[in-house]
Amino acid sequence: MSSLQAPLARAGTRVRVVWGMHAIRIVTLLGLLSLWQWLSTFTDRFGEVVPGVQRIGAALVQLMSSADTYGHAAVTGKELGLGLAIGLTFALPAGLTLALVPSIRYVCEPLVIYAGAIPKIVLYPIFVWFLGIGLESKVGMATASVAFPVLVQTAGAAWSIRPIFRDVARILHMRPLQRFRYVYLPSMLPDVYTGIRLGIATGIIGTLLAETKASNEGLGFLMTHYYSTFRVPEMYAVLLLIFMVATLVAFSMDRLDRRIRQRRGSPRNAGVAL
Amino acid sequence: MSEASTSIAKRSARHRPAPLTRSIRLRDHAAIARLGIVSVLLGVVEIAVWQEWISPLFVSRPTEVLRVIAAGLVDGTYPALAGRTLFAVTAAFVAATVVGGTGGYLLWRYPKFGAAYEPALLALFSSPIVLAYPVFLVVFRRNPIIVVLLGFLAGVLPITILTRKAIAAVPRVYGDVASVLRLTRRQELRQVMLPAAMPGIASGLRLGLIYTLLNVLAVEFVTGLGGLGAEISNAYALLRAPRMYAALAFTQIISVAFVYAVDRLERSVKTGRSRE
Repeated sequence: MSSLQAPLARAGTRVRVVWGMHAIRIVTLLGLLSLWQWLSTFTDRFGEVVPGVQRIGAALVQLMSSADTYGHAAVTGKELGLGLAIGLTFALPAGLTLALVPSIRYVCEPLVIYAGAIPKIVLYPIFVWFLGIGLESKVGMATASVAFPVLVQTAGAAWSIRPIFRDVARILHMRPLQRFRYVYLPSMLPDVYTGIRLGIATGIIGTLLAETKASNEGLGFLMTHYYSTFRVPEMYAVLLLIFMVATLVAFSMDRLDRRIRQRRGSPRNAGVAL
Repeated sequence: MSEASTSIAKRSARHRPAPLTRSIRLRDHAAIARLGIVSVLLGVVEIAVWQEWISPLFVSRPTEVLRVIAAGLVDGTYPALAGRTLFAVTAAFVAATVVGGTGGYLLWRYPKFGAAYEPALLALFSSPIVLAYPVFLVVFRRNPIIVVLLGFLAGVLPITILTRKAIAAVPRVYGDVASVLRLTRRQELRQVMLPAAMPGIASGLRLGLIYTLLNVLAVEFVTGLGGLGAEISNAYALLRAPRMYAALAFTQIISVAFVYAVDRLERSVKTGRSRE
């Protein structure tokens, strides 16, 4: 009987802790919504800068039921998808070269790292001047935003190859392609995937920011259009939609990252694991 | 036999460079190679624009860009712009450090709240906060405070998350020793927990500072308010290519110096800790 009581007590404590956490979250959410509502009524006399929760909710529902929104979302998705494809095509081989050829890595790595020290959005004028205001400049922007984290993370993945694996490959007289296929690639995969995950996150930001700066379609454009026409609830609704999609993408990529690392037994980088 | 082997050892020791010298030489070679790559690239651009293979309307000659930077430095334009950007970064980072550090500590101190808020903090951290700038424009109009606020929001999240993680990673035995020594809660925090968690906190501060800088520059660019980012945006709007490339190059130099200094600072904190 006592052997049964202990696990039951532990399970009971766990349930209490989980419910406690949910209660904290619900109370906090309700508090924030009430604060927002209060701000909405308080700032009403300054114009509609903080619309009420119901108005934003209604705008969100209207936005989600409009075919126009999906058209803009498709444009953003297309720009991001093309940027991702081009960025990965360039950054993965370049990163692997940096990772596996020490002399190139020693010379070029600081250049790559320091080239990534500015936000990519400030390079957007160059893309606009060369590629125009249409889809191409946004694809260029997405490519630049995706390429840098992928390149840096792939190049850094060389550190995750354990020296003993290199020694075993040498002892087994593996050919360079075999070494790459059976030793280097499996060891580097978790870090390379983390780079892709970060690349997608920065790609989303780069594409949407570019759309807010100079564009005539896409979700970023839609948000600035509502801002410039002072349709504030709609603007909040687009922003909310963007945040929800971006967070969903980030969480699913993070879960996949965790699964890959668990399977490979590799630890997560503290900075990246955020 | 032994004499011969000793002389061979001496000779080889004389001929083989010491590891430190070798690494310095390697570093010099790499630096020269890097300088060479950058010089060749700039030379190619110079010739391409000079020969009008690339339109001078879209790309400026590097010598022209250098001339604009030098003129901007002499008449004080660039120091003033950099000052405005760095002031925004400093203000945002100081606020983020105070709020994030305190928040991280409180979330560790009250673990139920820490566990409850962690997913929300991570979700916010992975969301594109910088895109909220139109909301701030609606609320604050075209006020430079927007730049500081968005910089603060970008910096406060990594600082909060990593401060909590760093304090939570301190071995429990440290806390036990503090209670055996009957330290007060403040003494325990100042003399035990904070020094032990410092490397992790330093990583959070580094990440927070870099995110703050990147977001400040991005917000300056998209809103056209503030320092260097706004200068790039204005030069682009006026189609002044030399001015835009000069501002871009100057921003790059400032950012590289900034990231380098932050890296060195973090390394010195961690080295100091490991020496102790």
